[in-house]
Amino acid sequence: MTESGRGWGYVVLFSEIGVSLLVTTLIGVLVGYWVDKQLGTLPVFLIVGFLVGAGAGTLMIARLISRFLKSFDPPAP
Amino acid sequence: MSSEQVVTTEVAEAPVPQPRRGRGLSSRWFLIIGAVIVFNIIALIVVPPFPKEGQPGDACAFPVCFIEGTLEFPAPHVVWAPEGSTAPAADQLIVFYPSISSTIFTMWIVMAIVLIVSILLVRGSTLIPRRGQNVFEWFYEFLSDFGVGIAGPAARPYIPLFAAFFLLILFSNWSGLVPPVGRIEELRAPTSDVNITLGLALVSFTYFEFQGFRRLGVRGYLGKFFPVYEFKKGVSAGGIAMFVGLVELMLEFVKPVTLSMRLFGNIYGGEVALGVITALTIAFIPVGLLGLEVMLNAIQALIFSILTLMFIVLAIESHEHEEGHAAEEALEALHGTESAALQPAS
Repeated sequence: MTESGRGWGYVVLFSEIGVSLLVTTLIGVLVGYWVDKQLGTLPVFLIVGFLVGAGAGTLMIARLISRFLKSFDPPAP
Repeated sequence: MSSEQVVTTEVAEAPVPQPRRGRGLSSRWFLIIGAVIVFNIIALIVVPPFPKEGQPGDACAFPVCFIEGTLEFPAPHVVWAPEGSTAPAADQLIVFYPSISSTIFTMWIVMAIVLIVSILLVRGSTLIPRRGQNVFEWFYEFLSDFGVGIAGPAARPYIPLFAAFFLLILFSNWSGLVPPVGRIEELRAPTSDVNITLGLALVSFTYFEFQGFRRLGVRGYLGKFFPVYEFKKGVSAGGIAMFVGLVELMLEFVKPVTLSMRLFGNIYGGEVALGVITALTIAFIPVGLLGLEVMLNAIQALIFSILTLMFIVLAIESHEHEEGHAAEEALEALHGTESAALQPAS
C-alpha cells in the first residue's frame, strides 16, 4: 500500500474510532436512563448502560483496528 | 575514483534543469480566489440580506438578521407532498412524512448529472482510450487501487459499489457549495439532511448484511453472533462467546447510525459554519473556509465509502477464518516459524 493510501486509511480509522465510541456510549446511556425512568432506579441502569455502551464501543474499535491494520501491514508471505 | 566522485562528475556535466516556481499555478489560484471574493461582494450589493420571514429589500440589521437569514433547520423544505398530509414541525430531526423534499430533489439532479457525465465519458469505449474514457478509467483505477489497498483483495468485487457511493456522496456534498443550492428553497445539499444520510447508510447496511448471508450462508453468518458451537469447549467459554456475540449483534445496528450521523453532522455543520461566517465577514474569510469545505466534503465521501467497503469485508469473513489467522500469527510470533511448518505431518 502506498504511503498516501495508508494515510487516508488512518484518517478513516480515526474518524470511525471517535464516532463509534460516542454513539455506542450515548445509546447505552440513553437506554439505561429510559430503563431507570421506567423502574424508578436512577442511576443504576444509567451507569450499567454507560459501561455496556462504552465497553461495546471499545470492542467494536478493537475489531476494526485489528482488521484495518491487517490490511495496512499484511503479514509477509 | 570513488563512486561518490563519479556521481558528482555526472551530475555536474548534466544540464541542470531550472526549477519551476509554479507561477502559472499561483496566478491562476489568485485569479480564482479574487473572482470568488468579487462574486461575494457583488452578491451582497445586488441581493442584500433580508429578514427570513420578510421580503427582498426589507431592512436587515447586522449581525443578527444577517446570521438568521443563512441558518437553516435540519428538516428540509417540502417541494411536493400528497394532498391531505400534514407537514411536521421544522425543528424535528427524523420524521416520517412521505413527500419530495428539497434534498431528494437535489439528489435526483446530482444523480442525473453523475450518470450522464459518466455515460458520456465511457460511451463508445475503445481499446485505446480517448480523452474522456481515459479520465474515467484513470479515476476508476485510482479508486480501485485505493479501495483494495485499504480493505484488502477480498474487497475487489465490491469496488463498483464503493466507487458509486463515493461519486454520489462527493457530488452531493459539493452541491451545497454551489451558490443557488441552499439559498433557494427547492435546492439543498442532499447530505445535509439526516433522512438522506440515514437512507444511504441503510442501503449500505442492507448490502453488507446481504453479502454476509450470501457468502457465509444463514447458519455461518448467524454463527458470528450466536456462536453456539463454543459450548463444546465448556459452559463458561460458551457463555462468554454468546455474550460477545450478542454485543457484536448490537454493534451491527450501530454501524448505520455512525455512518449516517457522521456524514450528516459534518456536512450540515459545515454548511451552517460557512453560512454564518459568510454573513459576518462577507467575502475574505469565507473563501478560505470554502476551500476547506471542498477538501472536508471529499474526505467525508471517502470515509463513508471506505467504511462501507470495510464493513462488507468484515461481513464476508467467517469467524473461524479470523480466529485461525489470529492463532497462526500468535504462534508465528512465539516460535518465529512459518505457519505451514506448524501443520502436523500427514
